[in-house]
Amino acid sequence: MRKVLYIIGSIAYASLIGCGEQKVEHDYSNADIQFLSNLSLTNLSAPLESESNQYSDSLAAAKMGHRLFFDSDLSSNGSVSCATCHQPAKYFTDGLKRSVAIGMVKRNAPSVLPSAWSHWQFWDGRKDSLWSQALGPFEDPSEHNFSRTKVANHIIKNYREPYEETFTVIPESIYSIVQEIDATPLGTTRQKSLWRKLLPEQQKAINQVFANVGKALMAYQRQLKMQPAKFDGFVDALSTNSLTSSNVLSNSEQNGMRLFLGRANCVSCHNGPLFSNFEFHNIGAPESDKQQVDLGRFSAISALVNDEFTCLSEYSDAEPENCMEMRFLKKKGPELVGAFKTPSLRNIGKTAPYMQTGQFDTLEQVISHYDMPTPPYYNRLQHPSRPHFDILPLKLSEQEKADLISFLQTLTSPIDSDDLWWQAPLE
Amino acid sequence: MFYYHKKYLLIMVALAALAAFYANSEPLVANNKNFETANRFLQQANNDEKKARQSLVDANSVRQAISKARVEARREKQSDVKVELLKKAERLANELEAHQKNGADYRVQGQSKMQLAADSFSVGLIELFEKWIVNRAPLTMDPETLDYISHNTAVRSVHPTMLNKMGTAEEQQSGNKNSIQKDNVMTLRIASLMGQSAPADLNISAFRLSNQQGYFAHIEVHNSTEQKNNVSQVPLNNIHQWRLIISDVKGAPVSGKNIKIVGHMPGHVHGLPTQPQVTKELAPGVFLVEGVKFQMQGWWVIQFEIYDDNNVSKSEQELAPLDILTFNLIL
Repeated sequence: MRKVLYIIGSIAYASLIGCGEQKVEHDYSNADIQFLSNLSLTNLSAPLESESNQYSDSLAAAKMGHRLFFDSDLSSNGSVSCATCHQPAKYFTDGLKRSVAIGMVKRNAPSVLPSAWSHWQFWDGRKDSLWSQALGPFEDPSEHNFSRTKVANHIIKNYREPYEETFTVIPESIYSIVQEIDATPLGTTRQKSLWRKLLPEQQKAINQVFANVGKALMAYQRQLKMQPAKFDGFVDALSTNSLTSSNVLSNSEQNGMRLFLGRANCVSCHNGPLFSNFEFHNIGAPESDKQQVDLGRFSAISALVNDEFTCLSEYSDAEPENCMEMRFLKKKGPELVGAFKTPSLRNIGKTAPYMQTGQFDTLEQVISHYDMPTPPYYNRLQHPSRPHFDILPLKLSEQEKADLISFLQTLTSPIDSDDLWWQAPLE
Repeated sequence: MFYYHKKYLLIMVALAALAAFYANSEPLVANNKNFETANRFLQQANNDEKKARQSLVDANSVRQAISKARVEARREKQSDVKVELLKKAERLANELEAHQKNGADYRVQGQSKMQLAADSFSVGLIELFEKWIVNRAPLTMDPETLDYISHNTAVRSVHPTMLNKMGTAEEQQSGNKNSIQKDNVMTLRIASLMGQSAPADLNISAFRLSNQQGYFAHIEVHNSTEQKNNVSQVPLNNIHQWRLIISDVKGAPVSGKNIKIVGHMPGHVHGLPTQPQVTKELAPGVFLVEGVKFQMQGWWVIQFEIYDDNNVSKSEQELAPLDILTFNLIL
């Protein structure tokens, strides 16, 4: 009798599941599933609210930012745009150790995809918003090698209508100035001296256009969405009790995931749906130039304090008392020395090389470093204090290292060829 | 008869004037009996602690005398002298035990008096700042913010010299071979205090006496200046506000002081991710603390260094805090 019931039950079960996909059993508890679901893209919050950019969610600003992002006329040789180093096909990176634009850039180009969720921008966090960040590369001699007057001139010539519809009218009094003068307070001696000769209100009008270009670029980058990766499919299937052979992670991937969340402690810093806490840590990645060490977050503090375009500046839309991160900026502490922002691990399998100057070519090298790290390089003459060190040896087996890498590969989102935000604008 | 009346009248007028004086001077320090009680307990606690220390010092010298007597006895050739010396050592050993017991008793007694003092100070402070103190519970982490960010394990930060004390890869492998593969149960929620040795009896009260016993203070969490939003849970990775409420041990609100905030995690080498500041004194002794943010769960120590406001001209190095308030949090 029992045998008959068993057979009937099996038939009923098989017909419920259907032919192609086999339901997969698992032993994750409800608490585990709840925990894992916090890491799924499905549960990603909206980007950080931007007090300093009132246009951050404006579609008009995003559309203008979209054009600006791919516009290579915003560079001294007419061939460098934001997309030169942030290429959509490479998840908005360039695959180089250190980016090459007009010259060679100091650091590796990070993906822009997770940046709208971070309080701090650049590897060292020397900018406190995405709009302020966007302004840096224009005036960097090794990047766009442009100036704010040239940017303003380009806007007046090519973007005046969408600009004025979205932001505000550009005073005609600066039309001829920005056409004739190449000036910025950050450039060459000549550019600086020309900038100083401008009247304060002229400087302010130019800076306003420049700042709004950054705000449009920020609005664009906030529109960039990632498709769910294999990992997200797995977690979502666990949450909805629909785990099948088609969405389950392999044993190696699951072991890697357990290590990632457990003994390897990766999730300590690489947490949340974007796998980053966006804070600053020193993991002792090899120093690429021992003659001139990179102090990371430590140097960023003075840059932030002196920056013209922070949340506290006159070009910010925030009330100064709401600029919490800047008001309570941590300015001192040994943990700032040589610390860099935790990068997101989304699409990590497709965004080699790794670390701030591409010190590691492969994920194998990265995992080997975490497995048996070298303490940070220390030079008494160059470092203000002995660098802080944030990681401990993991001592994993070769199989465990391979599993961890298999898991990291499940964080790659497919590129949606229909997503227009991911492509150069048509016009 | 009239003379006496006049005398009483004078006394009554004087008393009334005194009462009026105290009523006008904010707040009513003299009425707060709890601070008196607390100070009495505090003094007793300190005396007990002093006696405990003395007993332990005495115990130490007796211990030395015992060793000396025993060494002498070992070297002594004459048996009757030897016996005398051993007897002496035994007598001293009994004395030692008494000293040790005394020391331990006084310490326990002192600690319980200290607790009584802290309790009375707390009641006194709550009375003194009746309309300000809303939440008396120790601070905890808001689990909702925790679940979102999944920041569940400890970032362990070490000095580079610690690396060679971590054992070798081979040792680790032999101990944990295939443990992950064998153990199919997910252990995602790693104890947040991993690698930290917070004592089980750690005082995590939101009311604390200062290190030099000059001040008594209370902390509570506020998510805005509106009092109604008070909670005892701090959010993870979010800048929020605290109130710091301080009186001196006599029961007078502490006003016009410079207060510097220092935070760290014992067992880690890092501090807070922001630099919180006292931005406002909302009322005498009630300080608004802004910019507090915790990036991790675990044992945090938050210290408020109290500086004299008159010393602002001195450079940072020259300044020494008048006193320090230390709060332990298990978040």
